[in-house]
Amino acid sequence: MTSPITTTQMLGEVAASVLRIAGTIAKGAEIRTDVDRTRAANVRFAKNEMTTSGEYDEVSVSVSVAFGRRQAWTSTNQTDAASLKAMVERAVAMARLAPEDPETMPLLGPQTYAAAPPAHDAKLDGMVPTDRAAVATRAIAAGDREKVQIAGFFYRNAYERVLRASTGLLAGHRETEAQYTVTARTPDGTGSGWAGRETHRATDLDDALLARTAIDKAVRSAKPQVIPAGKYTVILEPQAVAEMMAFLVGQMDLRSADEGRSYFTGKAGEKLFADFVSLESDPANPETPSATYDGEGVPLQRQRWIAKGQVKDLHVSRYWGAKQGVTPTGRHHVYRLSGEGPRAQAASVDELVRGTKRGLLVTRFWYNRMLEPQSVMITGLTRDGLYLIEDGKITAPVTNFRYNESPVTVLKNVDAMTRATERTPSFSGSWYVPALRTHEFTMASPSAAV
Amino acid sequence: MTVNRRTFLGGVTSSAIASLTTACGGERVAAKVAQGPIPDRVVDDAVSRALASAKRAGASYADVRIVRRRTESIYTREDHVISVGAEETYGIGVRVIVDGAWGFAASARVDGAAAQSAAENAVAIARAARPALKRPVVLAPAPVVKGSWRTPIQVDPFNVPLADKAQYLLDLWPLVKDVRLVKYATAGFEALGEWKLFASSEGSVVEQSITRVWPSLTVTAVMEGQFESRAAELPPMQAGWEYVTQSNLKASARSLAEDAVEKLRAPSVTAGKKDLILTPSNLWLTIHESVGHPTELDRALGLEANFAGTSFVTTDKLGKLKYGSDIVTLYADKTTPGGLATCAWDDDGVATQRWDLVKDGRFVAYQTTRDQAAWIGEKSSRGTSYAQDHKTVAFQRMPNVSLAADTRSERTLADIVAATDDGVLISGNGSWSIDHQRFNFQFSGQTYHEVKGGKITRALRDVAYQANTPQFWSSCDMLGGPKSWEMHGTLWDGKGEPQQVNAVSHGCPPARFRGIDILNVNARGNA
Repeated sequence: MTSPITTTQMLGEVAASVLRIAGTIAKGAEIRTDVDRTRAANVRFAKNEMTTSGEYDEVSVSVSVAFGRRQAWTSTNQTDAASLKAMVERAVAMARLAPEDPETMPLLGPQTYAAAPPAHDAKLDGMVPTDRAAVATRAIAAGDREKVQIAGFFYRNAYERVLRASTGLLAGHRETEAQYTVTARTPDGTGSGWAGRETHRATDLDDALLARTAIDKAVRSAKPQVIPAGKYTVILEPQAVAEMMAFLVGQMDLRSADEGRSYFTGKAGEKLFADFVSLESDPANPETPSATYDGEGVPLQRQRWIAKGQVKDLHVSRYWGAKQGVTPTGRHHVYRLSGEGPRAQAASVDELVRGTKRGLLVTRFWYNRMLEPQSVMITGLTRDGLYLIEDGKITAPVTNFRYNESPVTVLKNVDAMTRATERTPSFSGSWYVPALRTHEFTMASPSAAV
Repeated sequence: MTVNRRTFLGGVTSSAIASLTTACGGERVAAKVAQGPIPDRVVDDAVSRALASAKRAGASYADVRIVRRRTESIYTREDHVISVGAEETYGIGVRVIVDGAWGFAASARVDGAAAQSAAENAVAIARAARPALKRPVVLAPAPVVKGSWRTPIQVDPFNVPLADKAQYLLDLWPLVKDVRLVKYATAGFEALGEWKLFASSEGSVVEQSITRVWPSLTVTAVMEGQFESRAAELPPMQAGWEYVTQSNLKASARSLAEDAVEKLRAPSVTAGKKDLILTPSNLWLTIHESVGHPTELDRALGLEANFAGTSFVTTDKLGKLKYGSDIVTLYADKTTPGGLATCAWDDDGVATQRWDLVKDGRFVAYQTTRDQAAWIGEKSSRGTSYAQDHKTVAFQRMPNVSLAADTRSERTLADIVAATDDGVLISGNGSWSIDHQRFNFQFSGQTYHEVKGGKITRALRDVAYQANTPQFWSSCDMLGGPKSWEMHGTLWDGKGEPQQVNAVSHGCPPARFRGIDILNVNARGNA
């Protein structure tokens, strides 16, 4: 395995080569290059046996060339001199032909970034094929033992990134990321359970516990009762919370709001949510570590999007910030939803259940899609464990529902959260969220899916 | 074993190529096709060493894909360009079977040494996986194939000057900006180029080059704190730049803007059961979700349980399940000319084909690959293996899946409307969502119109339809004729872990479905 220092040097040399090539064939242009190395490895299993597994180790190089307001970018995964030259030449040719983009912003010069807490974990990085296969083997053994069908996916990726620009802008970051998701199904096909976790360090990943959780949920969800669609008090486990909140953050953009095409139009500073709800990004927090710069090199500071239920800030791009005289926020990709005060002190999901007279416990959602952007109305389905709560106890599994609901309503009607947040598996960005209880949640139609 | 593309390209019979290319709407290429910067001798050396190394390390089967994937995208908003970019990846992926277990490894470097290393890594990964395997992989027999194929295009979109492509998009804004209440418009053009060389330890060697394009336009109208958008219905297609210039995008731009305004002013729909008339620009996605995915054999058997889910179409229903009404025939076809999934061979090296999934309303077949066919007692693969690029492993992916038109009639959309007393007509795609066994789905669209007494009476707003799959297809009572059949599709169908994208088309005529639940999804707080 290549040592990290060598890799960083190698990426830096590739970035320097790109700037050097561009400097000779695109005099006067502003040049930015991003050089990323990804070492990816995964194992996949289903029906209690291994299915596919693989790995790759690749460097991706991109260059952005701007002649004034004429701009274009290209990328390649080849790092030899000829390929880099071809990539730059193509970007230069495209930029010369591109019409002017009045929204082009000049590249940033050298920046000072906050020290980022360690996001790279050597133990995770060092997992070899047999270590990865062992994650699957443990789950399969547990599935065989409990006589359930088990399927899952584990990946471990290591990323190193360098950003350099002709203006002297320089930034770098390295991190590891693992994601493990596991699904168990009862042999009669009436029960299904799921568990998952995303993390940057191996010590946070208890794959055996996750497999046990999925199996337990599957067994407890078998032979569900049918209950009618309607409005319910729901306890959303962290995965369900994160899936909804991603839609809310997508709307939290100042330009969209200013242009009248966002839920947040005209709502800056309003108290829209329950008064103990907070949403923030803080790459310097050791519990939510990430790069302290965004794709343009903008330094990322702690940003409070929602505080005590009040909208504090919306994302502001450099262009829109300059136009409106507002400081750009940078494009964050790590979010933490939490609560302040006594209503955010539940020790566990079980405690939330104990405090619920009647409601539903939701493990996660599936196929979530925007239905009506003006109110951030989303549709999707419950999946892999939906349970009826009566008098503080889970009394029965129930059949799944399609929901039609807005995360705005979820955060408006929330009355309790767990104290702890966890990082949930996500396709993009990192989400640290609690479990929460909210009311008047619309389960719109029944789903026979298990 | 050693393979050499120059040898096979000279040796394959023209009649064999001709029969394939006729079926797939593609064309034979006499020389290498858009393979990228790596010289032939290096490619050939990489292929040979990968296969030989895999065999030497203990693989009973190996295949190699060398893939060059290119994308180019241009986006505009209103009167200016906001993004111009191009991506390219290149590399080699080696897949092996060792003692019945799959292993896969990839490298961005394409030469003999890197190929050998990838093959050896793939073998090591397969050996690590073997203890957790219960049923060794069995590949269905497949003829050894040799040949080359490419999308028939008149104008390579990657060779069209960028300024011309950008200007085409910029010319759209003046066509819509004068429509009152229209405030914004975004337009885009994407081109995808995929060249791949597949070679297997069984002796198959095929080379294919696929070109896909997609022009798009979305117009937004804003009024009194409310907004509505209208997207063009022009689908992505396997085609060249000529598809864009010959399209109706410019001609229809103003009507799109007018639609956005009409939607903004339209009354909110009254929920309830109504007859639903879907145009092809909406129905294709319903076919994709409610027929394409549930008839994937890996889903039906639980292999996708952890991500996309399983399927209500379990194997005990094969040949028995009444999927829809008697007029419903849905077929898979990786040979449809222009189809996004069309090619001559899949990524197992199996010749592509057409077959029925649902025949006269009854479920009759799955989509399969070589390692799946034996699971349901079939002797050969349907040829649906695909990997999105060199560094992802090939697995079962959806071919083009289409609804057959009513060949006994010349029925048009207007005829269906005229025959409908109380219905809603939906066109274009809006929101779409379906459960993880493909029962419960809910879709919206781009435009909605009330149909009363055989006439379109007014535009509507806030519409979605919700149904479950067998109920929906069983309620289909009217289909358009062959001339009303259109193909739409997506470049970005996701499946698998790690998730891969697949481009796929779906053709269909307009169709009517009786007594479907129409929802009102208005949550703005006012009608």
